[in-house]
Amino acid sequence: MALTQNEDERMLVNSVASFLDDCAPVSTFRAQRDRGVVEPCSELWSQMCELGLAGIGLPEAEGGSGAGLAAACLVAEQLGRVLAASPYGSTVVCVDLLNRLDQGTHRELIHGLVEGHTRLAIAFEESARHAPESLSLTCVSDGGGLRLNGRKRMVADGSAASHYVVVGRGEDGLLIVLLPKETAGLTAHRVDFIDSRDWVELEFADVFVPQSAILCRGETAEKAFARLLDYSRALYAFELLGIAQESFDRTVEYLGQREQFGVKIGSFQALQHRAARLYIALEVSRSVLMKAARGLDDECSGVDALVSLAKLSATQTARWVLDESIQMHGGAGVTDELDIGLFFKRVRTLGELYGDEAFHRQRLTRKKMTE
Amino acid sequence: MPTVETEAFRAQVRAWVEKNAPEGIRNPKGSLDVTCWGGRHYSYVSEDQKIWLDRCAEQGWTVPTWPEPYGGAGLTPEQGRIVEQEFARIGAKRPLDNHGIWMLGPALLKYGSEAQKRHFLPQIARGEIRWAQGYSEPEAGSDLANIKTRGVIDGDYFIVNGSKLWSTYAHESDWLFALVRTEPDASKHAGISFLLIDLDSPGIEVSSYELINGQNHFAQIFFDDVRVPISQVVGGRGQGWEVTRYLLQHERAMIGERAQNPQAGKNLFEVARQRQGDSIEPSLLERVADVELDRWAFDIWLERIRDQAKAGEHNPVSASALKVFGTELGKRRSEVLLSLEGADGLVNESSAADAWLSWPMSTVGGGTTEIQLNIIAKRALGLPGT
Repeated sequence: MALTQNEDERMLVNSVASFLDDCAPVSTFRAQRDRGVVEPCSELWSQMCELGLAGIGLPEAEGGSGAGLAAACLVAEQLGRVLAASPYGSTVVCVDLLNRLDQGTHRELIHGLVEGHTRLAIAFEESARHAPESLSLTCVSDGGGLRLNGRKRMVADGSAASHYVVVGRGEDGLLIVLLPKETAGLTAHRVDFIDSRDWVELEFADVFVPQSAILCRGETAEKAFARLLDYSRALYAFELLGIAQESFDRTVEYLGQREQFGVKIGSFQALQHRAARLYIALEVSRSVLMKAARGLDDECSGVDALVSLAKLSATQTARWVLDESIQMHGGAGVTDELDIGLFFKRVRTLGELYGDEAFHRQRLTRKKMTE
Repeated sequence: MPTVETEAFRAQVRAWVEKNAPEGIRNPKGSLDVTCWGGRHYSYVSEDQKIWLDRCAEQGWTVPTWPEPYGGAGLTPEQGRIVEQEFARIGAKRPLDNHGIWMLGPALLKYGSEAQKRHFLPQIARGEIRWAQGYSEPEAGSDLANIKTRGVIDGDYFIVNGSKLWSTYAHESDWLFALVRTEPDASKHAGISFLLIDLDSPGIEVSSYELINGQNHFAQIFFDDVRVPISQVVGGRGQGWEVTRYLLQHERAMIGERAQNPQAGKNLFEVARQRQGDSIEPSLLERVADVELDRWAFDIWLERIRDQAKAGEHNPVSASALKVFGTELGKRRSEVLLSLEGADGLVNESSAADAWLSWPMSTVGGGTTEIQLNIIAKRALGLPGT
């Protein structure tokens, strides 16, 4: 499939962009942050669900929009542009996970997610840096179920969630379980990250999980987890791209308006050249990301490497764009008043999520050296 | 999209190629793997190379998309690509390749008079005349409009004095298309004419000069009272800048559409594995990774640009952006490859040394990186001029 947007995708992007400009510009997020609120606004999420965004990647037969994963990624980019505080990322990934496991069993849950009344959050990280291969949340057989002990960090959209999708390791391999928030022994506490979003850490103290709560195990869980990682990486890569693009656009506009020494600062060649290099980086990243998004829909082999490249590229480009955006705005760039600072902090956070440059470069290097 | 018509055409071409392509030009090796430049002074590397040129020229296939009266076959761009692909399929090089085809030809087709087209184009198509470009001067590199070579009217002639630099293969060429200042009262850009000059004319001296990579493909040209007929101005007096701009944009568009990853070649991960294996320094391996991952990204970017072209979306700065990224990537890659090869790479004329010594040219020639960044800043970002 082409790496350009088709007609449907263009229409989708335009309508989502319009909606967000009207209902959730950056000032919406800023106001929420100023009130000290991190939980996504329910009304916004409701409206987004009404637009079919939560079910965007879900086949129509299952109650979704059937637009596919690439479309979901393009939506993520638009959400990035306005820093929309929503559980979109967690939701669409969980919808995909549950749908692929057994839509029959989870139909009600999927339905709830798509409609917006159910909210899930994904919990798998345990260390400070992304390390999906070192999961030590222990799941020990106990009677008709499992006992969980351990800790989970970097749980996105955790406060508003009613249930957690938890990845752990049992005696016979990987496990993915679904736990209600109020489960005995499970405590959640908020973590205040620089991006002022809904982050939570979980403690598991002898938490009992009945068999019925086990979504999958062993090889099925390995595959499901791999897919969860791929899809999440792609979505957050696109969100990074959206933030970077918006920041870049505003910076170029500023260069064309701000006057010093009797001229527009955008006429200074040093700034022109730096801006032109950012333009190139954005073009390259956009290309890589589209290729990864197409790969997800095609389910081609090696898509995990493509997605790693996408997360690497987006993280690298977005960080560079944001550093330059602040610098080129001069003093204004470091004020809280300017939105660039909000973009800067969200980019940093998203960079860490699901692996930064170093993680993905290492991952891809290891693959290439052992091929 | 292959259609019945294009596939029928392809079959025709394939049959002709099978019948007419001599053995010696199929997958030529070593010293026989040489571009056919054509021209009065050209020594064909083999009889087969000449036969191939003559047969293709007769079909109009040295310049397939040019109109028939000018030596082409009047093919559509798609048909032209099919001819190219069928040549490549049997491992044959293009029957003819030089500035006449890719630079002067398009300029004449757009700006030349009928008489000029009928005179000069068929000579190019048959490989009889080899053309060189006379643009840059000692005082006119990035600032090309700053040229000083002048042509003063004397009856039906210009008397040309001045010099040119960076003229690729001028020392092996027959004619020159050059930018000459012919309108002294006009402004800087409006005073330039696009002039066709016979390099055999009295008063012309051509000598090549060597670069750090040992190549001497470039020449300087000195003009000492050289008489050039006024009829050899293309596009009208004082229109030279417009003609050149068209050529440069045409070149850039071509680069954008046909861009290949310029460092097709060994994957550096493989080289690292073979040469160093586990003993490679982590920081060197990181540089290997950076280059190879950027190469991968570049390929994907090219794919997207091709998809954009197919969708009718044309980005006027794509070629500039590709050049900046691609050439810097090439330099980085040649640097890392040399590091991986160590002393083996320092040997003169080893392919690694050759590449490393050649890449610096790429960020300067064809519009420096700095010029390309200026273009992007102005055209894509709308940033104000100085």
